[in-house]
Amino acid sequence: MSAGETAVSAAGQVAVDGGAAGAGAKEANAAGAAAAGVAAAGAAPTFDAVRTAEAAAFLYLEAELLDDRRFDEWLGLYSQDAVYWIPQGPDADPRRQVQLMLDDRRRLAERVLRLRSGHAYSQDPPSRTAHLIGNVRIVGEADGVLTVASVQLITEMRKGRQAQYTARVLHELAPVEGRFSIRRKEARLVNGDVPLGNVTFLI
Amino acid sequence: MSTTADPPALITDDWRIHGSVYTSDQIFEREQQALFHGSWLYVAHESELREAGDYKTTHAGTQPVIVTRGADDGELHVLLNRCRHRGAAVCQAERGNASFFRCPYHGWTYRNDGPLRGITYDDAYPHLDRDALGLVRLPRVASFRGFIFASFAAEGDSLEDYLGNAKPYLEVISEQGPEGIRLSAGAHNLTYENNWKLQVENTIDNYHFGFVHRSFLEVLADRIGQAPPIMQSIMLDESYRTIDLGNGHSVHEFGDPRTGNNGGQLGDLPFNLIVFPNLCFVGAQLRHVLPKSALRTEVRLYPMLHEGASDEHNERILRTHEGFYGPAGMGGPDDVEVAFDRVGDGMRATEHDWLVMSRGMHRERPGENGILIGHSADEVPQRAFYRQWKRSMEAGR
Repeated sequence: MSAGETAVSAAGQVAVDGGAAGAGAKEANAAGAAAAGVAAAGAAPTFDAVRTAEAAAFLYLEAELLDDRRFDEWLGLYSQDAVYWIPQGPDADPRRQVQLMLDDRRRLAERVLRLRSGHAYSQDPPSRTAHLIGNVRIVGEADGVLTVASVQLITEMRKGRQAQYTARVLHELAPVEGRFSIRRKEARLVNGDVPLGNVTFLI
Repeated sequence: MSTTADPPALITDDWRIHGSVYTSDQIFEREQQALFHGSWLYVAHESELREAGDYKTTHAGTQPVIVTRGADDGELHVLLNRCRHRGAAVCQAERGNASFFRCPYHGWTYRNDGPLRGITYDDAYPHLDRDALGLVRLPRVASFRGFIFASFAAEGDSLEDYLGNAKPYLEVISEQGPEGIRLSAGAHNLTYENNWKLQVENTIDNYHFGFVHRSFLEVLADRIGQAPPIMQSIMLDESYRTIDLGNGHSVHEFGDPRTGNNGGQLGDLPFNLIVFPNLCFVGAQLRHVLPKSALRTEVRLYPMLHEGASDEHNERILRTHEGFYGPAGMGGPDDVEVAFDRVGDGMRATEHDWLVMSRGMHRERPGENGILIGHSADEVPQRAFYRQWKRSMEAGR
């Protein structure tokens, strides 16, 4: 699945009925109303405003947990069989080429353990981050699992230095007990293949 | 003490090293002219250049070069990546296959083994000596067990003599997979704002492991359900040892170097190896250290895949490597933070500008072929490096 594939969300569902699932319902309603306006103007005829808003609200929640460094809660968003992938370059084949990260749930938990250990010097002091999320679209759905594309602009401040990372992100979100669970996250950094120093904050 | 550019005075008999060895632009320049010019420099692995016409761009010291396998002769060539006309780089791609390189500026064309093949609108050059205007070739190129080296010096030790006691280790590395190794997985790219030698020194510095990588040791402990034995082994196990191999090369052995696999989490090699001046082997990785300026370095970490092994096996090598190394790894970035960045912060205090590199000096003991053997966490590899550094810098004067 790539961000370029055609959206398959059901056409014409632009009703804003307040049915956002799980956390962040209030934000979802606000975003949904704005998105519906876009759809009404004809920019996205197959746009499902409510479900897109629900997905966006969930991405905002994930970003907030990361930016607040609430890592245990963040990890809780991921399913037990989750895959978290930061490719190194645009054509990265994870079976054959080295990646920045290709974590299963266990290694994600290890990263959280490390970040909380007090001895992860590359995060001492910690990076201060803000994720800005845009271009949220539902680009796929299979067996109730949504594939959500977004673009995330991540500003990092650490030791007086500001860095900017931009990623084209795909989430696979499975509905579990009235909320989403992340089955897969793929964050393609636009600068993933240039020499980098320290990307040990979580994207 | 003020900065001196006299190399012998920068390293004392009791192994203090002056900070300017790392921070001085003047010393960096001299390193390029003397040390890098006179050494054999690793440039590529043969698995990256299998077919006639294959090429790879990289750096020999600070010099941008193209490593090619001649389209006609099938031989290895190392060429400066610089048009002889007005200086533009003639090759942009990291790798590929081409029988010639065409400069984008005015269209001068070169065969992929160097000679100038064509000048556009050449009636304007009635007397130009075209034979003298090929891409500049490094005069010596040689390969040992698949590792390709080149030298800017037309004369000097053969590659085999230069590698000396490092050869048996390179042989073991070259035989890691059932059919050898290949560098086909790309590389992690690191950069940091400090001297290139810090990365080489940190490659075999077992003293730092329990401190800088404490968070990774906690991860390991969580994974295996007990404190990982590595620190105890480093401090107490006598089969763990560091060796000055001569010619600036050094090794840390932690297991039988002939048997191949250490079974550990950090990779497959049972040793870490430094080949002077800027080639290192750690875990399952070939590490190429690229100096950019006194206070800027880039590092390429190439996972070495096993030729003839299953895809699953090689995938495991990649995932294990990624767990520790690379800009998002759980180990490598802690080295960048402490061993390069914080060292950089501290070394701005130049009022007293000396480092102490004497750890375990009293217990180095000579072995066969002129090697010096020390404890695992001693600074034997650092002294091995600087013995040759001093010789190279003096020879270049």
